[in-house]
Amino acid sequence: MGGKAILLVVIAFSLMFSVVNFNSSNTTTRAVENLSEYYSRTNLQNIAASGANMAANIIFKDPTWTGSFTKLPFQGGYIDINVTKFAVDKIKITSTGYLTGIYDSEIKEDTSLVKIILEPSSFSKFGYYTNKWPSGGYLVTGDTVDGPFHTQGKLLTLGSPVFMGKVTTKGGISSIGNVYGYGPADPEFLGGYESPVDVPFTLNTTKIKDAGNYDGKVFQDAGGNALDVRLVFSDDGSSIGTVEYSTRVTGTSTWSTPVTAKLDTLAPNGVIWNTKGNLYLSGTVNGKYTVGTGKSSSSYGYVYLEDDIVYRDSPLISDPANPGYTITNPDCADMLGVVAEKQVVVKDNTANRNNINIHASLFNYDGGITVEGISPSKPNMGTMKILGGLIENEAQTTGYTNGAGYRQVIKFDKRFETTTPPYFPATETYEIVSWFE
Amino acid sequence: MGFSTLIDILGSSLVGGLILLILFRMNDSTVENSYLNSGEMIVQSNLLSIIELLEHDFRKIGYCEDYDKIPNPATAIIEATDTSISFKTDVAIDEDVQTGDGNVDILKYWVGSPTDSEVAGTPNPKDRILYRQVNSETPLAANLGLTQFNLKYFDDDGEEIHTMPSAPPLGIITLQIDVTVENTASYGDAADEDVYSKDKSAFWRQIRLSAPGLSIR
Repeated sequence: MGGKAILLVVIAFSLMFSVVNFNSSNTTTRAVENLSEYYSRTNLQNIAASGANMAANIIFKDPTWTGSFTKLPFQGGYIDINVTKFAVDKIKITSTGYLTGIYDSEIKEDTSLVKIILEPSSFSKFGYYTNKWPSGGYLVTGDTVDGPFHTQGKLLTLGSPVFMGKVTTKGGISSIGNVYGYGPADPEFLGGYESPVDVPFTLNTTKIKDAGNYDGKVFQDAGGNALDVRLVFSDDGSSIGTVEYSTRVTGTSTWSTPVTAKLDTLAPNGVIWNTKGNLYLSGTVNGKYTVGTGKSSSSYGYVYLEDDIVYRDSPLISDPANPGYTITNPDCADMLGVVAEKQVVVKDNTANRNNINIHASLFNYDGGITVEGISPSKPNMGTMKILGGLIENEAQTTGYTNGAGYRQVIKFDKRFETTTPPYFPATETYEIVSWFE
Repeated sequence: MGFSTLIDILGSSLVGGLILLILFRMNDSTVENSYLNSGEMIVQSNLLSIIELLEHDFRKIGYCEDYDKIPNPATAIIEATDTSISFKTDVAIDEDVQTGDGNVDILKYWVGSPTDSEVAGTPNPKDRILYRQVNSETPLAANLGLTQFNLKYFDDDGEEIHTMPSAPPLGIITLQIDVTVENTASYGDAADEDVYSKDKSAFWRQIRLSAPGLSIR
């Protein structure tokens, strides 16, 4: 009897401890599974992201590349990468990572997707682009650069200038401070900073001219001479504006009789291009246009601003929610790109001696925006206000510290982040515009 | 029935009592260990749930299926404090289709106070609610035993941002996320070192989380 009782006690205890041990082991197993699953999922995500980065790197080196990798071994798993072009010049990268691990409490293979979209980068997306950075030229405390900024040179900062958009440089950055009365070296990159980034300064005038010949307007002298073209945009109150144009052979003084044309018939696709010569520009723009002029060797290619060149409505208005900040004006539907194969020059005339307003993205392939005959002895001409963007080969003088010339204000038209004037020059590189993971 | 029998009964009672005491003590220890192990696993599971949710959403800062609707991802973070963040994203259509619907959503995370009514009734005096709100929908809340939710922000130089601009872009490139989870109703009394329960307090830190969308374009 005693023996049976002891046996029962032993069996009961064994059962009890088996249950406790099972629960304890189960808890431990689940805890390990939790960690293993997190590790597996993180690793899987990294595999897919790595594949996307590898494909993007190939495209940055060779923008024409499309193709795929299948079952590429990586980090204990493998990757399927697929690169396709769509919508003419956009690229989609899909990277699918595969990894066998613990998912949902069982060992199996799972997948993770990373999807990237790349687009050619238009120069108009820059608030300020300069191919060459002048040696000894510094952005200093108090300077504010609006919109995305890029230089192919080395950016020099003194103190703490503020950059509102993303900053990229090819040559890096040199920041100094605590000299000349300026504070410590602390440039503020509110949109981030990245280097080295190579955005070569290129201009394909053939593409613009072809677009002009196709459905726009191309000015070209029949005798092969360089041609001066004067465009005066005007808003006649209708949905489509007009432009008054006249021409003369460069170097002569007599302009042809001005012709007024509706812009939708003169240049339906918005491109007005002067093959060789100079362009004289002013007026109120109604619509979306790219106007410009080519050069011949080192001659011509100047765009002269004879007066304000503005949209019907300002592209930027004050942000009522954030005083001091501007927002895009929803009522503004106009857009202008100005392309000078040489440079943009503000004429020194009566109209321009009391401020000048420019609503456009200005592209200066062989120079930068400047003022006709600028020197320290020039009178004060007020403020040069550019609402759009400035792209130039190298910064030029527009004013002096003694007040001669203009005080320059550049505000970035945020619509250029996603929209470009028709056939505005594009970089030869792609940029990532969307990243899903 | 003599004196020796009485001694046997008393001895048996004493031995039996001792064995009973040992059994009761063993039962208590077994129950306590079982609860503590379960509690630790609950804490760990809750912590992982929070981490996976945060990583899933924070990776998508600045993402929109129709990417033209967030033309400047650098401005995607709208508001950032040490205990809350609000940003533009495109919330997944559903669990199976993780891509968004092409419309910009505003996703906000913030943490409540230990004195909020939602957690006033829990035994843990320090737990608080983590809220997740999509646009202006009713905030989703879960009491997973969160006792610390702390965010730090860093610029492109890796320097911590102490003073946020009044409007985007805020200059944020990476985030540090600190999360501590404790059991909401643990077994036993408060332990030492300011930890509520005997269950281990689980702490997780993402040193530098970078949303790809913040640094594209």
